[in-house]
Amino acid sequence: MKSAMEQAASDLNLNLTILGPDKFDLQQVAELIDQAVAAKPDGLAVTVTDPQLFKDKIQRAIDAGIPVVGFNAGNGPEKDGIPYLTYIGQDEYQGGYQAGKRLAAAGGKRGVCINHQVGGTNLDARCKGFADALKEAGLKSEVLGITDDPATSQTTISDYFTANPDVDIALTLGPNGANPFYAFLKEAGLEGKIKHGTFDTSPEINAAIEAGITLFGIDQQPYLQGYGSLATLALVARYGIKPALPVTATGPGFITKENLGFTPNPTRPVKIIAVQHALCAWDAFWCVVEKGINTAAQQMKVNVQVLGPDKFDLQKVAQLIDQAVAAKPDAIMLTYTDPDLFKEPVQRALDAGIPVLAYNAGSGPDKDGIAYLTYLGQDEYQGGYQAGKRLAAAGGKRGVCINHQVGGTNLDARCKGFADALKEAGLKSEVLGITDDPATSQTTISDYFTANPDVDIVLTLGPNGANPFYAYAKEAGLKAGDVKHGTFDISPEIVAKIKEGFTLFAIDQQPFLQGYGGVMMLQLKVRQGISPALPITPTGPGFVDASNVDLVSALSGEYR
Amino acid sequence: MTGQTAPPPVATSAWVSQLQREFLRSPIVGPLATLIIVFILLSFVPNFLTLRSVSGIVNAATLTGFIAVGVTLLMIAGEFDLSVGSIMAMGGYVFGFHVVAGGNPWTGLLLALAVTGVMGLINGVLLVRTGIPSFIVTLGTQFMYTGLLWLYSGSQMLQITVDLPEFAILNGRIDWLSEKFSGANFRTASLWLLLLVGVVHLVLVRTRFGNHVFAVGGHKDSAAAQGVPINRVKLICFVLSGMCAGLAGVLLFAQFKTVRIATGAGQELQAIAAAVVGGTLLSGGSGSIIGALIGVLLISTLRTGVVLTNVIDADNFTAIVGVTIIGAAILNNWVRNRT
Repeated sequence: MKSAMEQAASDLNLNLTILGPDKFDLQQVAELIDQAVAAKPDGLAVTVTDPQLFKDKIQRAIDAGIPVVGFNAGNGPEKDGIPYLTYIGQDEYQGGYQAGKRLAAAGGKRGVCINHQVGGTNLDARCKGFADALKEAGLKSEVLGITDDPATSQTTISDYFTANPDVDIALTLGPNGANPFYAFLKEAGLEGKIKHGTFDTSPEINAAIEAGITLFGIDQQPYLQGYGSLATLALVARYGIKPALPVTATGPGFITKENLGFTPNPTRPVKIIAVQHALCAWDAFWCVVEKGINTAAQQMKVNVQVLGPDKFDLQKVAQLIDQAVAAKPDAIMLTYTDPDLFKEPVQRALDAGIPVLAYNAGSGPDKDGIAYLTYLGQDEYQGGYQAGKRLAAAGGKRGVCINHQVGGTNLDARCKGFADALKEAGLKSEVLGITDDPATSQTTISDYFTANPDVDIVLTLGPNGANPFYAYAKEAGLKAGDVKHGTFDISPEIVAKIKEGFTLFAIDQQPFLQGYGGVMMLQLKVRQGISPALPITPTGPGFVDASNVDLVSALSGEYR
Repeated sequence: MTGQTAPPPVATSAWVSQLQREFLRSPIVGPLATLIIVFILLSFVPNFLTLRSVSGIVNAATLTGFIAVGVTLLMIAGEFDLSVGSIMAMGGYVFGFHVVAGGNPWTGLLLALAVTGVMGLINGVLLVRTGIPSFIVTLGTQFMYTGLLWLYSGSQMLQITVDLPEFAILNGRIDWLSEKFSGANFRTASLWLLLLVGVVHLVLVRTRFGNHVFAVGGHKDSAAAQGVPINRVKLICFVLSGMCAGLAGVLLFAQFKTVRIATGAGQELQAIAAAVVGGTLLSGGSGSIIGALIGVLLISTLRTGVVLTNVIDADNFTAIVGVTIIGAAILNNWVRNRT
């Protein structure tokens, strides 16, 4: 953890101070937080080990305008009840879910989650994720509770398998579960017959992975917690770029036979080729992405070459991917714009052992059906969902999602997320379809509010929806606070409305982060053997609100 | 009428019956009747008969109305213009870029009209020089003009946040009206549309040029035989259609302060629909500018009606417009055949 932070500080040119107690003493940690706040840093990373004890201290930092992230220990701002930016650490549910997916894909029939601490929230979440993944694959699963006593546990496991001989998928939640499980396997002569995955690693687990008895161990990737915390804080302070979700997963990181025993080499020269379907030279949006790529390349001392076509031409992009593979770089990042056209060239890269990451365009390795590391971009559903949560929290009664492109998958997903968030808050909502014509749309919006005067939460999905809504609001004489309004994307008009206080926030996909994050993740992969935790790594929703609108609009076009 | 009422003086009676005949022969009878029926039916919908709803109907119809004026004029002359949508966007960009650069909005308006007029002229020249049907010519230029927009705009949306006093004249809210009557959000652009409709209507029915337009669209050969300058009439109509679309783009920018490449998309079909609903024949030679205005108002009325009934489903509205277009066309035919 310490080495990761020091490496990040050196890469990103940060002044870093690490504070910690002499021994395990949470009271002392709480005092150290006070001490850190008093030093007025540009950012603060805290292990939120005891949310109750730390709550007031962290709140003081936030009130003092210091960006705070939680790392390694914590449950995210919502569960902890402290409005810090994000929790950077293992996502337990996703760990179980991704494990379940891998095990189901390995060809089992029925699963068991061996839980050595039933009732512990974290471990239960792992089993829940596992069960959900198996259910999606059409498989049944159960939870088997065991204890801390390995002898009893081995017998329990043995009895369970006697009673359920068709169970051939097993997930253990750490060395304490894996240990009696291995003892059972050996006695029953079932080594290699059961698809087994586990959380964490131990010498025993590593040996089992080596021997092919265990398919993988799941690592929470502490290096990424340290490195990622500092990178996140630097991005917030320098460019107003905020983490997309309340929880930023550093794990599950899968340790398999292939990457077992990887030796980190933090100074290794890295060459990355980025292939994208557009270039800054002819599309201004991409200047921000390329700025992110180049900034990260320079900070992390990575050699990056950006390839793109002279004009929008996906055939040409596919050729460029092949060209990139031929150049044998350490890693390739690319826009997975066309799943059909790009599949073969990307597969050639993977076959050649080159790690590939998708950014800006893609649906993630699962949906795209190809094993690249992750897709780095906006998560549309989460954008709508987080927007809905914020708007509901702002105190509205009933919502409408104004959709200017009903039937477009991305926009529909935003409205779905919005509706789900409002539903969770006990509020009703609808979708109002409008068109490309602002005059017609304005009247439609006006008519809708006439027919539904109690609607006071509005989400628009971009400048094309916000524009006629503002026109309506002006004519109807709506003032800041009359309607809780949030929107996707930024335009001069939206920025002005956020400054006025009329619009609570705009959601940005943070293209800078797509370029920057791509380079950062790939160099960590090559140098540290760290893989992104999830199939989709969201760069958005990035919220632009009154707190950062000035910074964002000042950096517009370069970092935004 | 009962027999007990005293018969009116003969002269007046003749006058009234002549007016009746004239009216029944007019192409706007059908559309007007449809609009009135729809309006009466919708008046049962809560909140429909309010100034807010009515002004909303007018506002949603206004910009399409400008386009419909040009498109209808062309349709009477027997031609189509499918490129009006991209011309509208171009009008907005020319005006917007000029204003952003600190130029005088009135010069911007003239510039926009000039550029969009030339775009209309290109449509016309292509038609008369090549003899390719205007449906094909303007389908082609629609794509060409969109390409031109990509280049001209740098593929970027143009948006400003400042309000200029000229915008209020071009397409601002008529404040004294809305202050006097709550919810009456009428805009100046609607007045300009009424003015334009009035002028073009008079030109069509009272001038030689207007006669020529009908002649060119209805009986091209006999028009040519009588020395009507067919090509010149068509060129003028195309230029006017381009300028109407350009004006719509300018007025759009004056209110929303935004223009993008997709601005105007689909307007050509809305305008054609309005013209047809308004009694203009697809085959040319017959039609009415006032009818087209009624057409856009009818479509807009239906949209508001559907939203106010609170059956929110994005697909509902378009289906109802479809039914109305066909219904109006049937009604128009029926009226025409009876007279």
